[in-house]
Amino acid sequence: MISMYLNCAKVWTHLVRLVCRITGRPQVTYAAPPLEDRRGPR
Amino acid sequence: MTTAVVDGLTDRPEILLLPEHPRRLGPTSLRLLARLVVALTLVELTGTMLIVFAHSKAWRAFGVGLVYPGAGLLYDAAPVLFLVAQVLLVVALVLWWGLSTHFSIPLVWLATAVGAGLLADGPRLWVDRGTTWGWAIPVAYLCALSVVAAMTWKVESRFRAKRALVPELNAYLTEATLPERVTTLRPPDRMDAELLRWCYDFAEQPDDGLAGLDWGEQFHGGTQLRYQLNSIAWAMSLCAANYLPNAPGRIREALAKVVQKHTDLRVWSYWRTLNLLGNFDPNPDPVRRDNIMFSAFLGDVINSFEAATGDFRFDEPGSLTFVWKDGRTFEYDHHSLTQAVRRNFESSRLGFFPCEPGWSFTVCNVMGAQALHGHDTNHGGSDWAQVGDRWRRTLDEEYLTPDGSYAHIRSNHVGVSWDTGEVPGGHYFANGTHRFADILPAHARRAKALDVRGAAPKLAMLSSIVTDGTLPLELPPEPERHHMSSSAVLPWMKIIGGARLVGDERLIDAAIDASAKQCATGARWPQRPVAVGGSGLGSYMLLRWSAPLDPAALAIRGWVEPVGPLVDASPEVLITMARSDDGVSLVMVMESAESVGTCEATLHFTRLVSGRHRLHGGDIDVAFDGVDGGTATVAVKLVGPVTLTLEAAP
Repeated sequence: MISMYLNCAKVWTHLVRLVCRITGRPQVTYAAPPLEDRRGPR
Repeated sequence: MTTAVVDGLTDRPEILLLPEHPRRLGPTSLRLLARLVVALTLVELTGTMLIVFAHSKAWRAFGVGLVYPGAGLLYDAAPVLFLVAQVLLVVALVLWWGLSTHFSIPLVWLATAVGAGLLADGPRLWVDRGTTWGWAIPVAYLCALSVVAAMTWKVESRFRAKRALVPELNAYLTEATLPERVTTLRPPDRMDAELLRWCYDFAEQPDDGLAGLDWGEQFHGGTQLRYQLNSIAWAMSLCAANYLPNAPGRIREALAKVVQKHTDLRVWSYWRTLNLLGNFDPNPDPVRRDNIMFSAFLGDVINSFEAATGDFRFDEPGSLTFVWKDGRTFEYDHHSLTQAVRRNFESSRLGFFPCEPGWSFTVCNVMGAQALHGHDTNHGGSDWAQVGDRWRRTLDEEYLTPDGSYAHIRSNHVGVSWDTGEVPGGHYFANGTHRFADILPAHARRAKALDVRGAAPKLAMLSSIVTDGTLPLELPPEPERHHMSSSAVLPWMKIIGGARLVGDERLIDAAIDASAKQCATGARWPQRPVAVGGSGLGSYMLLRWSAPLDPAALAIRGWVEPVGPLVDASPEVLITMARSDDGVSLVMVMESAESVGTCEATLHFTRLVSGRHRLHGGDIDVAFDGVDGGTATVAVKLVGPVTLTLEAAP
């Protein structure tokens, strides 16, 4: 029943905001993180 | 300057009517839903058996917990834990949709039932140890029944309300005439120059650069890099086809760089998480399985690139190589990417295949169909013809609702749909960048007629206040998808898109002008020339540059070699338009790359007809001869934006 009355997209945004607050990361930024170093072919 | 384009919407007058006796569910959805009902019934029966026959409180609490998630905790006289369980259920539901954790609701259900069993003889917060509330048992059944009743009532009442509209809608569709698409080329203005400058700066940054895009989570929040790249590529393709067909050099290379940026690990690495959570499959390959929101969108981006530039570099094996963190590589090209999309269609029981594992969105599957259709157009294949019938049946039988709208989302596992909050009402008449125009023209006409029915009166009112080509309005900003900022570009895009839908050229031009006046920032890359997030910028450019060809018309047309002379320019110059509509003369709009002041420009012409030529416009008027089989280099001084015409000298 919940699904019929719940705006998942909005709740998702709040969950992301909560996680960003906890981890201290910005929710939206212009600064994409640098590419991780790759370990090379296996 | 007008170019007539047959877009598949206006050359066939008949419009599909809606089924008079629509079904509630398609056969596959019905089967999936029946399986879910059987599973839930078994759980309820198990819970009931335990309640009736178990002798220990623990087993009875577990049984009550099976009847309704968390109800066992209420039986254990722990109402706070019951409320916590309800919150966990909400989170589980959102994660089911957001991260494909199909196990999250069953896990919360089972865990709270087990927890209730373990706590049955344990301490209580406000009552004596081992207290149980017998009234929680009927409450559990009441909750379970309420859920089923409320869901059934909501789905059924919506279905009946839509079904009641069918006679009225069919009467409308029988008489409806579709507005002609506006195919007039709007001359580029200052904002077009700024936007194109931004595109070049974005594309021409170092290959591993993504500066200029919004960065955030990559699942649902409106900050997905893939969609931002998609929309920029589509917009640049339209610019190349509509504004720069005779100055192909720089835009082609810039576009190729944007396409290549789709292989950046930061763009597609999200898939391993989804694949692991949703399919229990650790393979990070973003193309092989599901993930239609990446593979199909990229396929369509390449289709657009090819149709706009005639450049087929991404057909080369390995031209799209995805390198995972441990060095594993997944090598694809336009052909193998398309084949992966087709294989996924063919192996899906539902007929549509998932974006996030287990969730098949209509919009993404429209993009999948576009990917196949466009590949066929550009390469002469038959992939769309092979899967098209089954695809249409899925659309019509599984996703269509009585009023002609389609459900946005459907579970491949349990056959359910609901309004997830992503699109208004959870339904739409058409979606994808081509809105069915290429893949199912008859469906496109019906969708357009239904969209026009709702939008035309509002747009006519707006059109009536256009005075001397201007729309004296400022629109209130609307929240971006990630809710971290708001932008007035978003409501402006609705007006521009709506005006394009109803073919109101006056309103299109006025809204484009007014949106730029209200939203211009004066900023340059990596900031944005209009005040909008990364997900809106590409769409805004796409809407501005959608004539003469819109994305569907470009896909239907495919690559066509431009007629007339070609021009290229030194880096000091920004060419914002170069077209030859008669195959002889060339009309160009250009300015200094820095937009202010003057610059010494060197223009290189090729494919000139033999004889003497005249280049004129503004303060410039020079004559020259073509050499070396129709080439010439001319130096001119540009003062501000100037329109130049190259033609045969008398």
